[in-house]
Order: sequence, then structure tokens, then C-alpha cells
Amino acid sequence: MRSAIWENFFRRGDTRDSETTLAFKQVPVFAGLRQRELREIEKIVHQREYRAGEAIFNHGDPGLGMYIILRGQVQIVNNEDPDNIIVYSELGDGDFFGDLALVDEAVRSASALALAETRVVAFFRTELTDILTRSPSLGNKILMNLAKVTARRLRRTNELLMEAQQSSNGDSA
Amino acid sequence: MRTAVRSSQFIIPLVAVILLWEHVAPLLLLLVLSLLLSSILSPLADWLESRLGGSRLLAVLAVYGTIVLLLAGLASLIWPILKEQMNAMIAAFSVEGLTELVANLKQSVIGLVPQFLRGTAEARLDDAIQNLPGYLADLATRMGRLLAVVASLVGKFILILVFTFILMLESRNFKVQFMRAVPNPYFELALNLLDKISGQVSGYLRGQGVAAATVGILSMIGLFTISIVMDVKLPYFVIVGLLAGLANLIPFVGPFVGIFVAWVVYLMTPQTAGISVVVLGALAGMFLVVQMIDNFFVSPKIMSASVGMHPLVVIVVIMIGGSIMGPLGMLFAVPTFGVIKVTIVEVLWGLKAYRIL
Repeated sequence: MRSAIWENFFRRGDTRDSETTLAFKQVPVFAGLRQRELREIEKIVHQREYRAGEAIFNHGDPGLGMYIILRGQVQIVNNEDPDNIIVYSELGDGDFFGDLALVDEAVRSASALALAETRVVAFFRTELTDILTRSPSLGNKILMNLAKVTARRLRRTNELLMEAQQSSNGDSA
Repeated sequence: MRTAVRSSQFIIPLVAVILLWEHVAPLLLLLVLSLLLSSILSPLADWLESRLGGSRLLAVLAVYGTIVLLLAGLASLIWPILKEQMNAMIAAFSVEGLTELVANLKQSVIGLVPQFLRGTAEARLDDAIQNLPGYLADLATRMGRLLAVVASLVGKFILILVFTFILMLESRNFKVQFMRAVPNPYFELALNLLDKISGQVSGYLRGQGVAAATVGILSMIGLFTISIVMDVKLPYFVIVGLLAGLANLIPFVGPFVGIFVAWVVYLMTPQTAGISVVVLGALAGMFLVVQMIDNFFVSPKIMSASVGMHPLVVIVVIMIGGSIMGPLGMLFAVPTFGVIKVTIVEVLWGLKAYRIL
């Protein structure tokens, strides 16, 4: 007969992934984190649900942090001028956006709108600061990942700039 | 439908609180005090959590242990002196003791009063000596009432400690649960405000505490030094220092409370070399130096500029505090107003930043 007490005493932590930790694993900001660390983050993030057409944040709002899409579809747009709406990108399950706001307090440069019934996880600067205070090694891993993401984007921007310069030089020649 | 469910999470408890207000109000006050205390102590718990392998429970227990040890250490250091000074004060508050003290005060002061006012001053002090027994009987009744209040305060203090423990332990969970009830359009605004207000309020309260402790300790050291260097008797220097530290919660007025109490103690104590204007000047000078240290070196480093108050506002706030809760209200009026001001400043900022205003 199995003893509930001993079973409970020797029970190992549930190693199964939740929907949130599975989504975390797809996000470069959380790359290389252990299961235990992902669970720590899961406890402090905010889960939200948005209806189709609802704004997650608006252009010009103070930037607080990033969102990870668990399920649904989000459109990143510049809707400052209602007559000239520019769509930057459309994101789906596992995609993330707003990550630069984790290190930068600038206002949002675009709006994020839910295109369908969407479930997201919000991970904000306050939570990152909290992690850095109480678990510096975990906080540093996340910061290092953020730096890598930013470096990759900067490199890509440089490539695009060089391509644009080369094509403009070719045109003028 | 979802919005209605979320809103009901706010509305149902709110209606319950309004209906049961009479019973809920005292608990709500204790809860607010616990929230303020937990916001002061949480940074210490966060720091300890990083050093105790990430266990929040151990960190919060360590905070409580540290506080108990600090209080015990402080009490064992100060208590013998405080007890001796309290006993001396209680003895002095007997009819005979007070008559002697007022007589001493009369002798000390009369020499400093101009000739043309001397007659009136003497008559007033004689009146005071005659009326002392009546004043003391009244004081004894008030002290009895004060003891009853102190006993109920001890019970409330224990409740506050329990609430604070739970709030510190579960702060992150409470925050996530609270934010779940906020409708989507106000989610970022509410979270931003919550973080900014709690950061500012805890910073402000910690700053007030550090400034008060600095002024209190420096005043004690200053009074003790003056008594040794100038060879004067300054009993109750620990009590005067504590009072000066507490009074520091009141800007502009606080520093003068320390000077006034120290002067009264000096004037009421029989001095072998008689009363000296130089000592009175030294006492005032010492409190001014302590204030300068606080104003130039301590407060600017710990206080946010957003809590600066106009002197006129301070006076009005102190008067309102006094009319609501008496001397205790006067003492805590400015910190309470500071917390309210910080909250309003942050709410206005948030409403403007999110283009609601």
C-alpha cells in the first residue's frame, strides 16, 4: 500500500511544462533558463485576455515591458493618424513584442492590437528589477539575453542601412 | 461578460465594506498601517531573499528576527538609562518634586527677566506653584486613560505585525491577484501607478524614519557632549533626544521642539554654577548643527523632491492633524499628508501619461 505521507515527502517537483513556461522557452529573452527559474518568473507575470480589436497598449503610452502571445494574434501598428494606419507586423502564438521597454522607459512607438481572442503574458520592468534584487544570477541571465536580442537587431539594422546606401549609390552612379 | 466578471471582483467587496463599514473601518486602518510597514520593510526582505537561496519565508522571518534583535539591543543599551531618567521624571512629577522644579525654574528665569517684568513673572510662577496639586490630579486621571489606550494599542500592534508578515510573504501573489481584477484598458496604468506609488511611499517613509533616527541619535550625543564639556547637569538627555527625533517628523517646527525641551530641562535642574546664557546658546547651537547635518547631508540623499511642502501648507496640515487626533495627530499629520501628496502626484502623472486627463 502506498503511503500518502512518504509519497508526499519524497515527491519531486512537477516537471511538466505549463502553457506559460512552454511559451517562455520560445522567447530569446528567457533562453537558457532552467525549469525552476522559468517557474519563478511564471509566478510574478500577469496573464491577460483580450477580445478582437481591443488595444493591448497604445502609441505614446509609457513603455512598461514585454508581452508574450500564448494564443491568438496581435497586430503592431502605427495608428496615430486614423486615415493612414501603417501595419508593422502581425504576430501569433509564441511571438513576443515590447521587449525593449524592459530596459528603456521611452514611450511606446507603436500600438499593439488584438486581432482575435488573444491570451498574453506580461513581463514588466518592475518584475525584472524585482528578480535582479532577489536573484541576481537569474536577473543577469535575462539581461544578457536582452543585450543579445538588441545586438542582433542592431546588426540587422546596420546591414539594412548598408544595403540602402549601396542601392542609393548604385542609383546615383 | 468578462469585464462584468472582473468588475464584480471589485464591486462585491466594495459593497460589503460599505454595508459593514462600522466593523470594517478599524480593521481597514490596521491594514493600511500594515501595508505602509510592509512597504518600508519589503526592500530588506528582497535583499535577504537573494542571500537566503530565494526563500521568501526565510527572508521575512529573518527581517522579523533582525527587528527583534535590533529592538532588544537598543532596549538593553538605552533601557537602563531611560528607566533611570523616567523614574527621576516620575519622582519629579510628585507635588513636592514639581514644586521644587518650578521653584528652580523661578530662580533661573527671574534673573533673565527684565526688571520691569520681574513682579508679574514672580506672581505668575507663585500662582503656578499654588495650583500644582490640582494640575497633578488632572494629570493622574489623564495618565490612567493613557494607560488604557496603550494596552489596546499593544493588541493592535500585534495584529499589525501579523498582517505585515502575511503581506510581506504574499506581496507578489497579492499584486498578481489584484491586477487580474483590473479591466484591460486600465491594466498598464494601474500597474504603473501601483509600482510608482508603492516605491515613492516606501521611500518617503524610510527617509522620514532614517532622518528621525539620525536627529534623535545626534541630539543625544550632542546633549551628552555639552553636559561633559561645559560641566552642566542635563538629565533626561535620552528622552530629549527621542523627543527631538520624533518631532523631526514635523518640518520647520520640529527643531524648535528639541531646543525648547532641552532648555526647560536645563532651567529646571539645579546647576552648581548657576544658569548660563552660554549653555542655553550652546544647546540651541547644537540642535541647529544637528538640523544642518540632517538638511544638508542626510535628507537630500534619502528624500524625494516630490514631497517638498510649503511652510504654510505644513502649518495648516499640523493644525488639522491636531484638531482630529490631538498631539499624536500633529506629529503624524505631515507624514500622512506626505503619503497622500505622493499618491496624488503619481495618479495625476499616470492620468496625463495615459491621456485620460
